[in-house]
Amino acid sequence: MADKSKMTRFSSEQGNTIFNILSRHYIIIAPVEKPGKGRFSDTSQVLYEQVDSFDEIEFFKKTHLSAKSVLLPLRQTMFSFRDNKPEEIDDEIRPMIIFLRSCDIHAIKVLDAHFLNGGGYTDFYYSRLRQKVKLFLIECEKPFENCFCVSFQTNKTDDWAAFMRKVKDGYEVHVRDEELKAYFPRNAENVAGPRFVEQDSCPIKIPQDIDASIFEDDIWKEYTLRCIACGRCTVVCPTCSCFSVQDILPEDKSAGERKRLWASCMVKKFSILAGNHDFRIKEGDRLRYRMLHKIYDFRKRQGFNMCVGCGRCDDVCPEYISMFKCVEKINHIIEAHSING
Amino acid sequence: MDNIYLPKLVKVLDVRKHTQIEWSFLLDYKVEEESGRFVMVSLPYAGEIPVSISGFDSHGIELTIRNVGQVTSRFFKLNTEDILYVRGPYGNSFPLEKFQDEHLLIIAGGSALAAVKPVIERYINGHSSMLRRLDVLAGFKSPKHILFREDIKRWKNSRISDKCIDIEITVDSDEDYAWMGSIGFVVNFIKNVKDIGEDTRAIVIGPPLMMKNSVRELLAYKVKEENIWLSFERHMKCGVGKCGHCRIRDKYVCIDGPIFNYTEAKELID
Repeated sequence: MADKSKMTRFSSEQGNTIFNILSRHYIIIAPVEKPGKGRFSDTSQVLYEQVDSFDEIEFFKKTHLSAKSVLLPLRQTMFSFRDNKPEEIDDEIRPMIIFLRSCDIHAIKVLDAHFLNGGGYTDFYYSRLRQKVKLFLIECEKPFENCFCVSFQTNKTDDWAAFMRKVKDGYEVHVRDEELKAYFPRNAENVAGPRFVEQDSCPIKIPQDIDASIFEDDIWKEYTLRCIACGRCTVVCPTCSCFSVQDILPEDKSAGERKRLWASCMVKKFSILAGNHDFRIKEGDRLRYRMLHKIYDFRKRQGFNMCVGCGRCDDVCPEYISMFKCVEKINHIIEAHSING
Repeated sequence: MDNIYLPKLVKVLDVRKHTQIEWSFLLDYKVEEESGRFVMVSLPYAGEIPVSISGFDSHGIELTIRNVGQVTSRFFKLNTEDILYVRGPYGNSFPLEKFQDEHLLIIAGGSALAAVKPVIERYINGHSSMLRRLDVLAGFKSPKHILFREDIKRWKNSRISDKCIDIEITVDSDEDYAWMGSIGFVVNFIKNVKDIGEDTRAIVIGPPLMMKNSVRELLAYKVKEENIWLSFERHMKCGVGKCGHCRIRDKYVCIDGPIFNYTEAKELID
């Protein structure tokens, strides 16, 4: 919890001045509402974008997409083939600020564990971007629909450079990062630090132990009938980070590039081998593969859950498949097994 | 910071053609001899794939590749002096210390023999005192699919001093009736392995079904679970545990494998 005395309040107008100076040194990425861009008519889309003022930021709505594309661009050039020699492209990367809720900050912890340290290898491209990013915490007044951050213990975080809250006519901010302190007024005011959600609207129990019996269960057959393998759940997930690699040769046959791009284990042929031997051909098996990674297999490796409970997968699924319901079903199966021995 | 994804340009020193679609490329790429590991190999605009190292010598490494996909078909246009893009090696290696003074049975199906060839070569070439007995059971689709014919002849001709080597080559079918050897799946020949039992150490490598059936047979002959090792083949884009394609449960085949002890492998359900 932030110390009350360290909070600062400033008006919208002051905010513009602060933003102008801050944005000379930082690219500021935050939730933005796009009216009319939603999935249904007359709805809006809330997503992450570079903003031009604090007032543009949508502080109160859940974003449909996560901010992972900042650290893992949808398409990312790895290197070019100039004269057929692999050559790193020396992109100048500007420092960035991302406005995130607690669950999404936890999602970055998941990506850090995987890309910075996982298996003893550091991912060059992720690390290069990550070093330049500072995290601004924004709070949730109450849980959104389909959110279960408390169940996943991602409702609270202490990992932020600054915390910012929108209030009537202005903003309240608590800056911890030494470099950022210079941009904000110093006068201390007696206002509340970040408030975190303390209770999920629908709490779920996270299964502790999963044995092979779950693989045989019929629930996955049901998901085979429902899942259409569109991969939306992996696109919106803040911790889904699988990628494929492609070489691109421009039409003029000049220096092409090796790029990586998002991949999805929910889409068919994710694991296919040359010669057409494939794994997890059924949609239900792919759903089981992804689900168990989120709530069990990642934890076995890293010590904490991969799923942060943001519920975006539930929000986006065109077949109304719910992660929440699936975890509940897994719990029932485990209980039934423990009763039947 | 090192960029693990940047490949090195490596010269092809020699191309050895076993069958029409299976060639070995000797590359000017020197690495420490650790059998079972793989490298990521690519050509610009073709793509990048994992390939097991099938041989180590003073010039470099040998890769045995089957012309079966988009990437490999491009490799088959290469000649000596041409360039391949290589990074690695990655993955774990066979636990040779566990085979010391023991009876080692290697069961390989088809081109998977390539990945285990360095282990066989090691014991044939002068490290004989390290094993009590070596059995190699390698199966191919048909006589024309047999790889490393010269190497196999050499292996058959050698004998580990006063101890034994047995090399059994089988084919699934022989349409031309020209094959003088055994016909049938490798799993059916496990029963002929001399002294197979509790103390046998076994490496099983090949197509998934062949591995599954072979392990079942080994267990029936009382080979202990902890004495069986399998080598997995999976789709990979990075080789360093990042891209996610080769993950099975909490393991990445590229960094935790490709070799898994059966006690671990039996939990790995795709």
